[in-house]
Order: sequence, then C-alpha cells, then structure tokens
Amino acid sequence: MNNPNRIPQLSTSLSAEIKAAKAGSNSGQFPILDLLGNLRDEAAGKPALAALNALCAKAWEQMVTIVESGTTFSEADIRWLNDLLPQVLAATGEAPAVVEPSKTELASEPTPVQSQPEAAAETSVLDEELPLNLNIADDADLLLEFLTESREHLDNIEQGVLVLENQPADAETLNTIFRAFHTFKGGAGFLNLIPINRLAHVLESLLDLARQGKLTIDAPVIELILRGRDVLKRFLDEIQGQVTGGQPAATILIPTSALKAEVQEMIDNVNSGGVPLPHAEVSAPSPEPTETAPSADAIPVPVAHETPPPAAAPEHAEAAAPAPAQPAATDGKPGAKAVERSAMVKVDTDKLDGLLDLVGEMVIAQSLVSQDFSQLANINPEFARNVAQLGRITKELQRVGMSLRMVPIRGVFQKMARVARDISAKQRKKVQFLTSGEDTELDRGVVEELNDPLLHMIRNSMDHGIESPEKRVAAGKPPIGTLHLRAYHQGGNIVVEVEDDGSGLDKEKILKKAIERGLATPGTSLTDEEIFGFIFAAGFSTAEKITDLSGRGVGLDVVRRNIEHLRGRVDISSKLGKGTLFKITLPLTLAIIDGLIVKVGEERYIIPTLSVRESFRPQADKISKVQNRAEVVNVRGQLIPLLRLHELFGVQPKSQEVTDGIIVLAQSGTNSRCLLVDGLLHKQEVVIKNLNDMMIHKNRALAGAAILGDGRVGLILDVNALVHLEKN
Amino acid sequence: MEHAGVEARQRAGKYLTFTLHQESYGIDVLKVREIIRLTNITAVPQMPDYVRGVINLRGKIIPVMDLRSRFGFQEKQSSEQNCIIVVQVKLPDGKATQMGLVVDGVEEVTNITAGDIEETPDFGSQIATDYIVGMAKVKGQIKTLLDIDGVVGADAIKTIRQNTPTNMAAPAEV
Repeated sequence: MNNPNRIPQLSTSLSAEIKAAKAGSNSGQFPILDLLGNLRDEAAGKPALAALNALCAKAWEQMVTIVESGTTFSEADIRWLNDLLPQVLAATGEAPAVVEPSKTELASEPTPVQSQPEAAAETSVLDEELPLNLNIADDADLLLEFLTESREHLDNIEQGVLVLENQPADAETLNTIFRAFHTFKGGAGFLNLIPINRLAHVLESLLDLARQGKLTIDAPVIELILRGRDVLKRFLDEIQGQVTGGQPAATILIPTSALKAEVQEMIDNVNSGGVPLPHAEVSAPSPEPTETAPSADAIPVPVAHETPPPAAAPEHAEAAAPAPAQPAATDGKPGAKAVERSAMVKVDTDKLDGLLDLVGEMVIAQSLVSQDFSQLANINPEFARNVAQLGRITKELQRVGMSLRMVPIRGVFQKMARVARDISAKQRKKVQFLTSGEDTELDRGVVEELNDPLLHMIRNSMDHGIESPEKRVAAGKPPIGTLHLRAYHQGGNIVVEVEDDGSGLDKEKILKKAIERGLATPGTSLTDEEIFGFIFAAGFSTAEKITDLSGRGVGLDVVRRNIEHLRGRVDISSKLGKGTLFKITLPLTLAIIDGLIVKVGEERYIIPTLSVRESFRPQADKISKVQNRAEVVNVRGQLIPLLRLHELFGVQPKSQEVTDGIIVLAQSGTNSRCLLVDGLLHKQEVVIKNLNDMMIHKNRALAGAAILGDGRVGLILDVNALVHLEKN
Repeated sequence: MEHAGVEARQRAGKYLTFTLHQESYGIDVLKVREIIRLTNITAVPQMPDYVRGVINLRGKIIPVMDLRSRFGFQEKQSSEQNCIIVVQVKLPDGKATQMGLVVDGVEEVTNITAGDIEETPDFGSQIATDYIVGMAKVKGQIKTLLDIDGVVGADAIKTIRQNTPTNMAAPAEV
C-alpha cells in the first residue's frame, strides 16, 4: 500500500484515461474516479505529498458528482479533467513541472472545482421531469433485487427519521439514513434509473451536510426527507407493478424536480450561509420552525466517532489540511455494511417452506418409529435411549423451524408511527404516539396482513377518537392526545392493541344508528360488546354525519374482515369521553391451527377449534324439518340450520340417522351452523398447507389441508364459508 | 397440429412410457419428477371424477389425477402395478406445480427419434387431440405421446375451476 512506486504508475494510467475521455461519452468515468481515489490514498499521510493528496481528494469528490449524476462527460468536465492532469502530474513530482504548483495556486484551486458541482447540480435540478423507462426484459432479476433491497432502505429511512425527530443529534441514525440513501442511489445508478438516482443523490447530499454538522435536522428537513422517501416509494411501486404485477411496460413519470429543487435550495442555503455551524442561517430560511425544533444544545451534530472532527471548513482550508470528512466517511462505509450483512441471510421463502415441510414429515416419521418401537418385546436400553434422543432432537428442530418464519412486529409499528405523525400534522391534532412490545414476534404472513387493519384503526383513532387540543382542554384532559400501540403474548396468542384517550364510543348513538339501519331491533337488550360490534358493519357510519360518531366505522369492516381472515378476533372496549381500546387477538402463526378432527364415513376432516362452540349428540325431538328439506336444530331455544357434511361432500356416512351422529356447532362472526358428523376423533395442532390452488380454487368449503399424525392428508373446513353456504 | 411437421425434430427425445388399459402412452421424461407407489389418497369433495384427491408427498400436498378416468376408461380395480407418476406441470398462468398421475403401470424410459414420430391423425370429434403431441412407433408398438401440460392444464383446470360447490355438473369432456 505504501509503496511509493505506485504513484507514477497511477498517474500514468490517469493521464491515459483522461486523454481518452470524450465529451458525450461516459467511458472512463469509473477508472478515473478509481485512480483519483487511489492517488489520494497513496499520498495520504506523506507530508511531501500533501498537495497531491488534497488535490486528488478534491478531484475525487468532483468525479463522484459526475459519476453519480449518471450522465456522460460534458465539455466542461473534459476541460476540467484536462486542466487537472498537469496539476496532478506536477504534484506527484514525477513529471517535469509544467505548471509550478505553488501552495497558493493549490489553495485557490478548490474554488473553481467547488463551484462546478454546484453548477452541475443546479442544472440537473432544473432539468425537465425525467422519465423513467425500464428494461424489464434484461434487468428483471436485478430490478427485483433492487426493489427488495430498496424497500428495506426505505424502511430504514423512515424509521431513522422518526428517531431523528426526537434525537436530532443521533449520529448512528444519521449514518444509517445516509447509507440507505447512498445505497439507493448506487443501485438506481447501476440500473440506470436516473430520476431515482438523482433524487436519492440530492437527499444524500442533504444528509451529508447534517453528518458534517453543517445542517441541523429540524422539522422542515425531516419533512423533506420524508417527502423524498414517499416519492422514491412511488417509483418503487410503479416499478414493482411493471416487473411483477403484469402492468404494461410504460414510461414512469413521477415529478421529482420540484422536490429536488427544494432540497437543493436547502443545501445551497447551508453552503452559502457560512460554513461553521450556521444554525441561525440554516433555520432561518426554513418556513416555520415548528414545535419539534430541537433544543439549542442539539445543534452540532456529532459525526461518527471514527472520523476525525469534521474540520469546520475543510473546503476553504489550506490545501495541506487532511482529507475532508466526506471521503473518510465513505471509506468507513463498506466495513459497517459488511457487519450488517454477516448477521442476516436472505432466504427464499419457498426454500424455507420446503424445509418446514420436511421437518413436519420428520416429526411424523419419528413418531411412527417410536410407536413401533414401544411395541417391541425385548427392548435394548441403548436403543431406547437413542430413540428418545431422536425424539428430543426432532422436537427441537421443529421448534426452531417454526421460529424461522417469525419476525418482530417492529416494522409495522414503525409504519404506523409514520401514519400517526402525518395525520397529526395534517389535522393539527397533537398526538403522542407510543409503542410497546415491538419485539414481539409473529408469523411473517401475519405481520404483512396486519398492516391494513392497523392503518385503518390508527386513522380511525386519530381522525375520530382524539379530539382537538381545545376540546381536550375543555374536557379536562391534557391537550396532547395519546395513542398507544401495544403487542404482547397472551396464552398462545398474540395481542395487538390500539388505545387512544379520545372521545370514546357513544353507545346510545351507535344503537340508535343500528336500529335505523335495521341492524338491531328496538327494545332488545344488548351487551356493550354487541353494540360496539355494529361499528364493524360495512358502511355503518357513512350514511350521514352525526357529530362525534361520523366516520367511526369507515374502513372498520375491512379491519374485521382482514383480522378474521387471519383467524383472529377484534374486541372493542370504550368509555365515553375516556377513550377506546381495540384489541386484536391473533394466532401465533398462520401456519398452525388447533383443529378438531372429525370423521365422516371413511373421511376425516379438520374443523378449526376456534370456530367450534360446542359439540353434542342430538336428540330426535330437537330436530325439525322445514318444507321437508331444510333441517334446523333447537339449541337451547336458538334455531340453527343443520348441515349434513356427508351430503355436502358426497361421502357415504356410517349412518343416515342424525341421532347416531354428533353435531358440531360451528360459528363464524354472528352466523352459526350445526355440522353433522359421524364422530369426533381427537384434537390436534396441525400445520396448514394450501391445497394446490388449482384444485381448491372456488371450492370454498375447504380452507386447506394438513398432514395428520399417520402421514395422511386431512382436509380443513372453512367454517366461514360453511356457515354462509347457500341453502341448496 | 398444423405446424407439427416442423416440430417433429423438437419432439424427439426421451420419453417415459406407461400403460393405461393396455394402451401405451409416453410423456417427456424431463417433466417427470419421480414415480411413487400408490398411497392413500384423500378425496377432495366437489372435484371432477378424474381428480382422485390429494396425497402427502414428503410434507408437500399435491393433487392426484387419475389418467384412466381422464381419458374416459372404465374404472379398474387398483393393483400392485398401479403407481403415481409425479410430474412438474406448468399452469396456464405460468406457475409450475407438481401433480400426481395415477397410471396402470410404468414401462420404461425410451429414446424416440424424430423418424419414429407420426402426426396425430384426425380422429374427428371422437377424441380431443389437443394434448397429443404425436404417435410414436417403438418396437412395433404404437405409443401416444402426451403433452402433459395440456392434459392437466388448460381445459382440465378450467373444468375444475368451474366446478364450484353450486355447479357440480359438467365433468371433463373427453
């Protein structure tokens, strides 16, 4: 590394590259960047070559701007490079000095160089809206990878910003966001997604200023970053649609220039507003420093510990100054990234499911072995120990296997924090958003499905639950509302709660509305739970606006449906004037259910235990026929339609007599059916497998299949479909 | 089958041959994943006759189609020779899936050259020939070469999908 002989070699290569570089072409950009970086590093730490070091560092930065702009060399770039070359050669001391690089000259050099990137950036900002065309045919795989990674980066950015909002000086977080934008930019540049690349670039530059302590992260800055993140997300959504969603390939045109201009303006403000910690200048141009503006002591954002103090004004300092903070920090990046990578392995979910299938098979095979084994007459103790050991390992393997699919709920919570933040800004309601139990793990599938329902609930609570500050004060509450999102385990289930301290639900009004809409009959006494249940009815409150009640229920039918789809439950408790608590109870995983295994003829079916209310042997006098066709069962005064499973499935039953069979009372939502089966076998936890979708498509009576203890396949009934089955 | 002549060379290759009711058939060996014994098949209600049900293939649940009933043969008592050929098929939507085919017996893997393959004659409306790739003469025996994607895909799947619980009529039109 310290071999001084490399410098002549590097400078020779550099001059060859620069001579070959042509305006209108981008060939040579990367080699030049690389060579400049190498020269800079070679010269670092050698007093004799300090001038070279500084010169190359400057030039390197300039090259980065050119490379990352994703464009070809302009005439100006080429001129600049050709001017640069003799200086570099002179500074290496190798070439006979054509131009004597006096210190003063070097010191003045940065100024033109410095002005150029800005000019370049300026023009790029003023560009027309850049269209984005995808080359799906060639890049599909790369694009997909880019999308996956980018979504992670977006999450990191969002999460980081929310941290910065409270702790603007958190260097670690700042670096994370910066890195995220940087990687984004790199990926987009590589795939030639120019608008994304440009936008990420300006945002990165903005964050870099913050990293260098020249810009304080305050509300306007955060707003810009979040807006940038949203635009980037829109790009990703569009790309995703075209790559995987079967949308026709079309030019993506999402306006970015206005946002870029704003960001650039902020950057320029910082740059022009005096370099050393210009807090006053920075925040002055920002439209309205809101209440979230950081306290004064948070101004100098400490830069990552490993970099030397960011030398207040490196640009304008003496040429002999050490390399400016930027390249140093950039150098530090690969290391940090490598650490992140090594902790995680990305695995295709198909592979994971394949592994879990095999583990399930192994558990079955193991139990068959130990069953056979226990019937052996003369047992060898050594063998017995080994079999027991195999059993333990198998169980442990199954447990670990199951945990592979589990992810913390944190990601969803972070998204909700963002939503809450946006709404509160929009509605001018002050809300404190609290979360707890973010580390609670649940099945990846559940986490993804939870997004929408939570979104609706948060919106609902923010929109209709929490009152305006004035109203709150009038009601004797603190002006700032509280929204608490919680997750915790409870007896084999996961509970997610959304609690607000807002106005609460008005039982009287809901009941009145329900009666108006024919959902309830006047005069019946209903429990609180039943009354609150009405708000889940589709379009319940949209008919007309009734003060506080208005909107309550918009989207809540979606919530209920999604949660039931996840085989979960939503409960509400609320006190008028005090607040509302939505409690979602979910199974730990989508992959396993507790099933009641029933026999119909020779077939076995699995009924999810959660939907079974009771089972009993029917008495003849409790069964009545209607029009000699439909049958109803009188269950303690309630008449419930009877469904003979053997008829539905075309199976030969053990007996046609209802009284010989068992009735399973299954319930979904408010509907119930009596299912007639030949007998109950046992209860078992089963791993749900999707029936190959080509087969089960539209066969709504089945929710899936599972492998039973003996290795055969059992079909899982979809109770929700059964109770709603048309009578025919 | 209009441009089939051109494709004769492409159709040449290794085929797994099997019997159905004394007739001999062949499928592209590259589509075959494995051959397993006839195991317990769990019937799935409301499926067309030729879908026997589902089986557990090492933890994966795959549907099983009975080729005899698919081609309209008489039901026959299962015998020792019966087996399930697990094939990888492509669904019309481009997704690949595994599926079992119950056949009377598996014969061999044989190399069929382009010269062995004859065009499928026009049987009129008697037999649907869409999923027949061609007829091959191997050692004096005629083997019907099947496009397995066509057999289990396309119209078969359409038929299955139309068989909603409320519409159980229309079995396969073979």
